[in-house]
Amino acid sequence: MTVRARNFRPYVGAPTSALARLLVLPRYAYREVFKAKLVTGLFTASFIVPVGALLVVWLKHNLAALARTPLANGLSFPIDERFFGFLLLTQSYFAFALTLFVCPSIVSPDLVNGALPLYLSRPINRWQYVAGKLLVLVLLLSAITWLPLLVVFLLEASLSPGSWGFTNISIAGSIVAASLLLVVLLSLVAMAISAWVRNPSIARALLFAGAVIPAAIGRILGRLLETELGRLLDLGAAWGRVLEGFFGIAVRSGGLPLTGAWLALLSASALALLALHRKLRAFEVVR
Amino acid sequence: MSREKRWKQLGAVAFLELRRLFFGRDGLTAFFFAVLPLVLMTLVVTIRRQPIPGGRVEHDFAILFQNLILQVTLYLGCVYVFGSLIRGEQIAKTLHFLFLSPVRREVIVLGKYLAGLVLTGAAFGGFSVLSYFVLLYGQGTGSLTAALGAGGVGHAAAYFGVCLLACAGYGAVFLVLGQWVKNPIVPAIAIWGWEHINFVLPEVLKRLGLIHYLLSLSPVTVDEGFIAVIGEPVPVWLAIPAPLVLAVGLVALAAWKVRHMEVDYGVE
Repeated sequence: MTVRARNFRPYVGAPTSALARLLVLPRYAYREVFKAKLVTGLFTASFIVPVGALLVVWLKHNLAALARTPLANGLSFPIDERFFGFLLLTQSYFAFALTLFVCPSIVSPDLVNGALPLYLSRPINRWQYVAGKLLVLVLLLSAITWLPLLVVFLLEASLSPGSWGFTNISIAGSIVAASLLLVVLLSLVAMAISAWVRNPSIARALLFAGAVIPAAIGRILGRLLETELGRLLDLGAAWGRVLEGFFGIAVRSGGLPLTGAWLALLSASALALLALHRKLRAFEVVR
Repeated sequence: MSREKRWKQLGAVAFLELRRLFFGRDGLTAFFFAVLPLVLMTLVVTIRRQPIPGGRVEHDFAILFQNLILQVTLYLGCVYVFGSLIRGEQIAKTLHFLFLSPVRREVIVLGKYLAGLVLTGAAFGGFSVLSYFVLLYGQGTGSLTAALGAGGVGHAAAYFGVCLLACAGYGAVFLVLGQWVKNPIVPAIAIWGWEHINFVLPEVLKRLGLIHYLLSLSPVTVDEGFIAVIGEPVPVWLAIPAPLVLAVGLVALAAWKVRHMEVDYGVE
């Protein structure tokens, strides 16, 4: 065949679905993520509390197992929405730590090494790229937040007499809703910071600073200006207030209005999306 | 080589590093962290219409100093500046230029540490004192003069001194970490966690945290809540030398480490 006859023709085979293309990103990302021992260790450690909770629920309904222990009369605390609220609160710390170590290493290298144009030259657009990377974190964080908590809920529902599960179905809804809010917020904010600063170490430092500085500023503004609105800067406190709303537990959210807390979390997510929209482009202007 | 020559070399390295920090990203970040409390205090004084009740001003500034300056901004500023003194040069692939110069490596490390200390000490100490003055000034005309006359100068000097000691101590820790680990942010978070929970630790463990010595020197004590384990503040004769001894020990360790260091940019 002559060189002149080698002209490009469009692909005529069956195209892969958008979802299949999207799932390529997490598949390779997980391989990279779990190469780090720290991430593997942290991910494993994240299951300690849910496993402990499963044990507690089981012991609560198996008094015989406690017969020869100081807790022979049974566990005094109820398995209710507050129990699940505190479980989710604990898991949210693990989720933050995991995001801190995972997210910068899956986003920043693509931008530093100029890999984004290569991704976007494939049949994948910017938002599919964002969704693919987001999926890495969403699946990882879901595995340590709402999934194990739902297992605990199901165990309690199966061991409790009567229709405990149906009566308390709102708890399961709260677990899923609150967890998804946390997962999406953490993922978007971490991705935006990673895309913005491009250096994984600095992104981690910024994420950490972003968690502790607004908290301290919020507390001080609250004291000096005698208002709790300063705490709206503190996304941790806002998340705590939302948890209070869902589960009725007392988190140190300092009397933030619930609507304000929701607004703060949604605004942070929207800002993160905007930052991603500006930073993730197939071209780069080098000055 | 004469001692005088060594001093000259030390001064040259420190000056060179100071210039690099001052005009570089690391110095700017440290200034951003240092200026944050001043911005906050200016904002508070501007927004707040009524003066803060007399007795509360000192206490409120002590809360700001303990919760924001010592435990957050100064700490992060030190991570940034001291963590990148050696590590930053390694990433930028410029460390060999320093090592090829006819200066002992220990002098290079000490010079860099001193430059970091001068920058962070002046920035965090200076802006902390300025924040204190702004808060006092916001209480009405003449309140600043009155407060300074009533022991305010001593308090300002104490805040400056505590900042300097904190920079010396934390700086030495992150100088060493910057040499030993590739990513100092992970141990930095672990140390921050340890310092952060210091108030709930028993007396013996409290003494393993630098923050305990620094807070013992703060002019105003802050109530740390009902879960705090109350411990005796460390006496001044111990609280001042302890961070300095730690700093000297760690800088000596950094100097020993740099003596055996091989520059290998290939593994970066």
